[in-house]
Amino acid sequence: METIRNEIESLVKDHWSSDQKKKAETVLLFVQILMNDHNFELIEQQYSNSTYIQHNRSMKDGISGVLNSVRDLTKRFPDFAYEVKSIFVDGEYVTLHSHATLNKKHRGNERKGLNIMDTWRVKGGKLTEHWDAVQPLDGFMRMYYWITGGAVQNTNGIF
Amino acid sequence: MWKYIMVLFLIINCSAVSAEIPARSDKIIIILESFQKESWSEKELENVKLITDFVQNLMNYHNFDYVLEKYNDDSYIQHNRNLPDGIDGLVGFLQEFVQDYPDYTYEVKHIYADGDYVTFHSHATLKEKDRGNDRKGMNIIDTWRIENGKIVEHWDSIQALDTLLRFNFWMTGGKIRNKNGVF
Repeated sequence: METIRNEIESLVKDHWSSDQKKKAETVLLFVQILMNDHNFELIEQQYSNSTYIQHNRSMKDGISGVLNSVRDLTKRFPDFAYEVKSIFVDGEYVTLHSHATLNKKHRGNERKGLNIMDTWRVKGGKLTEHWDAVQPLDGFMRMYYWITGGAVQNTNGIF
Repeated sequence: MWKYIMVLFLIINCSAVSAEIPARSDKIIIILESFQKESWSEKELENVKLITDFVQNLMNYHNFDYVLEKYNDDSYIQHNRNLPDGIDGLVGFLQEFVQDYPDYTYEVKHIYADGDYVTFHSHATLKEKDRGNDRKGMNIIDTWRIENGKIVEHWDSIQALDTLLRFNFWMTGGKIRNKNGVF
């Protein structure tokens, strides 16, 4: 399986401190393993022990929640990929603007897939909290979100 | 005696009048101080102040004349594909929108700053009764780029929360009104 690789060198900002760069790298590594490599065993081994407060209402709380959601998705869409377009770092908070696609042929086609902005809180090298806004782009995904987008799987609230 | 009756009448009258003031007079106000982070440089704070003024007047006060006067010279490259390019495109769109939804508000929940970039995570609602209810309205993350005190670029991701809005986004969310690309 050919995956997308998001390289820190093409996303880094000149003014970042070494701490900002480190936090960006921590988040990039996590999304690389989870969203592109789909290496769920590694996520389970390395990230399961810490608190992960999930504000995406469609996922269950904790690392296991996001792990199961992405695992289920990749069973139907093994080429699911997450291309990072920008990274912003403010203190403990890292924000990614990304283009997620379900099919390989849709990579790089912004009329397809999802327009996503994610923010993670990074504390002591660990990802402790996650917020996002997910916008479906193509007609099929927009219909799918109309039908399924109202399910609430955790009690953390969106904001 | 008449004095007392007169005062009583005025009080009753006043309370009746205030109760009739339309709900839209209750504007949400973004309190920058409650979001301020120690990590921000002076320049980042200035950038956040600029965006707060812009968003407050545009999305909550609906003070479109002010926004046009103060920000229309900014290049404002619009990456929200559903909106026409530039400040005038955005204002024109919202001017029509608030005719249908005069209580439209944008409650800011988080603010982040990174150099020339400012990000707001916000809850937008169409009706006054939906404010604070995260099952209604829109979950929005916006990023703006600021250059020399001007707002030069904007990106966002907008997630419709309630069923009606999700249906609406299914129907209308594919309409593309600028050529700048989403990212």
